[in-house]
Amino acid sequence: MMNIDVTKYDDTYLIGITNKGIVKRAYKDLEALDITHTEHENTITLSLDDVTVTLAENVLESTCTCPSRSICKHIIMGVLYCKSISSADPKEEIKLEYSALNIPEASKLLQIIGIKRQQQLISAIQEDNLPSINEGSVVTIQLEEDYIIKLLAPIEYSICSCKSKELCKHKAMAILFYMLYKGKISLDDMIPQEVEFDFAKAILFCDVIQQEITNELVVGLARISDGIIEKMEKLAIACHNHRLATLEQKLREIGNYYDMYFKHHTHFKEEILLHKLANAYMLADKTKTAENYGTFVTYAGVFREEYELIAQKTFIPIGERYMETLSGYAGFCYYFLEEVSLQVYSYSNIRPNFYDKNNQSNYLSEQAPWNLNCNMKTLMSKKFSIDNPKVSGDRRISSSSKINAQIIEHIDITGKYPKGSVVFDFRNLIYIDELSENDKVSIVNVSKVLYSRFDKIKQVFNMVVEDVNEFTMDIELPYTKSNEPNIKMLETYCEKPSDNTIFVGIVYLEDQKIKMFPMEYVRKWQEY
Amino acid sequence: MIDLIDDIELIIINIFQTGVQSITEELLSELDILSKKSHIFSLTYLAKELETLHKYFVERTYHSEYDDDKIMRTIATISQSIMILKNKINYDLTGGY
Repeated sequence: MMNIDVTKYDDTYLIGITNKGIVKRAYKDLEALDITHTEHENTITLSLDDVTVTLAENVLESTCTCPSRSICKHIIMGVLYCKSISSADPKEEIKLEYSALNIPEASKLLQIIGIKRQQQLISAIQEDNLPSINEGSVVTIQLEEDYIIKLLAPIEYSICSCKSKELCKHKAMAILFYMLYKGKISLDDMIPQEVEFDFAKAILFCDVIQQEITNELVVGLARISDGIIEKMEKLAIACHNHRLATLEQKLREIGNYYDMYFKHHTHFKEEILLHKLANAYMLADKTKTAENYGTFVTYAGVFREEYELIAQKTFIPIGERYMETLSGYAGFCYYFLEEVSLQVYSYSNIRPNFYDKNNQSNYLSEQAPWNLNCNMKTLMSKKFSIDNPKVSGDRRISSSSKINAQIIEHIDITGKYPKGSVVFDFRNLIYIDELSENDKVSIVNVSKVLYSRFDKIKQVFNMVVEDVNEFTMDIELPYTKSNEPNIKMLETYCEKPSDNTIFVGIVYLEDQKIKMFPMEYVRKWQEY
Repeated sequence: MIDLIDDIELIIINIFQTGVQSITEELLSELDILSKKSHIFSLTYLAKELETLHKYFVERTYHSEYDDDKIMRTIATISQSIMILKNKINYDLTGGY
């Protein structure tokens, strides 16, 4: 019987504290080595070749004379050697003790996972939809989002499939699930006191919003003063302070829509303003009647989308567009086609402009993100790959400076639109409204242009195009200062249209028709 | 049915333009007619909401301090229903295409 119980360390644990390769190597090298050992009071000294390993009761406190500063192959070999000569029977099933994990406070973990995941956690508990937890020498937890977390003692050695060495959001989420599973925390502990306070205040504020919208309806659009724009902005700021992200955005949109009304903007429609007011009113209603914090966050929304690290991807740029949102943001949105899945990803360089609407910088000449040494205009003609891009749920790529990208090659038209990504039959676009924004970006093959004109009353450029099966689609571009060059470009194209032109744009359904907001076009692409 | 939904949308926009405080007799009687028409076209939910709205407007004329929140809520419901119905009709038509 040895003075240190090494049988408690099984292969899963040893892989956890090092990696699969080291354990495999240790097994292999062990066969070819002569090892001598000396037992001391609380340690065992082992001589392996030219290094000396001192095994401690806790393997993580063991030392080795080799240059490695972490748990090296020699320590693992020492453990395996001791296990092989130990007279004690190997434990059949080693179970990690909860106390050995040394788990941090739940409040700290909740802070790490952020509001959106807190809400997911609460919903999972309420719906009794907990992830599968497998207890052994290592606790394995599989989260819904395909992340596998292995909890090791102590917790700092735990592993996440996102490969983060730190206590990442996934690890924190898994630990919280494990704490729940072990009955160490309950649903009440999930709602931080500070948030609960804001929650109550925010609910009261929803009444103020509803009252304001009712007042607007009582007074009537014809009699309302232009002070309403400022009032909406003030309410939006107050919403921000009450963490009502969605309502903040909606009120800012309403404010900007009132601005369009007072400026007699051609695109202003009363029914849209009424619908926006009705939506904001109903959302405030749902938010204030939320039964619990989880439902409240669902309606209140979050201010910033969370990004997840994904594996390296190669992108082909397909188009860009200038956008100005009613909620007071403006900038360029760039779209890229992922080479393997042919899914569209986007990166946007959008800034708030609700205080300074005249500040329109040249976005295309701006530096490209991801530590690339070129501007956006150059990047839009290159195929490039990003190492572990950070991507949101709706496939928007983060511009984080910690992420690196490499330019692969210059791409011409032949490589720009892989055949599998092109829609030839417009009927395939019928369900587009149900898709997320990036999925609405489509590359379509237009067989023929039937008709084009600039509608002077609606101030919209309109083109009716046909696919190979003679089904039609409307390509529409409303007149704005930023759309003016594109309208001119389309007008020139329509003077001498060519068959089989590729159009890239955002497809939507309106007035019983399939319509496209165009971004790019390429003539006779099939000939390349 | 599409024309009826358009008419309902139009009257709701008229109310929004004029303001609840200045609603006219004509608008009220038109609201009543549209509510009855909606029943005929089996737009039961919309018909009931229009009926309720008409009732609230009549009540409002007899009370100096009326709870306008009830009216706003009904108008918001009608506005959302119209949007859903219009999208559904467009979707059905486009699906047929």
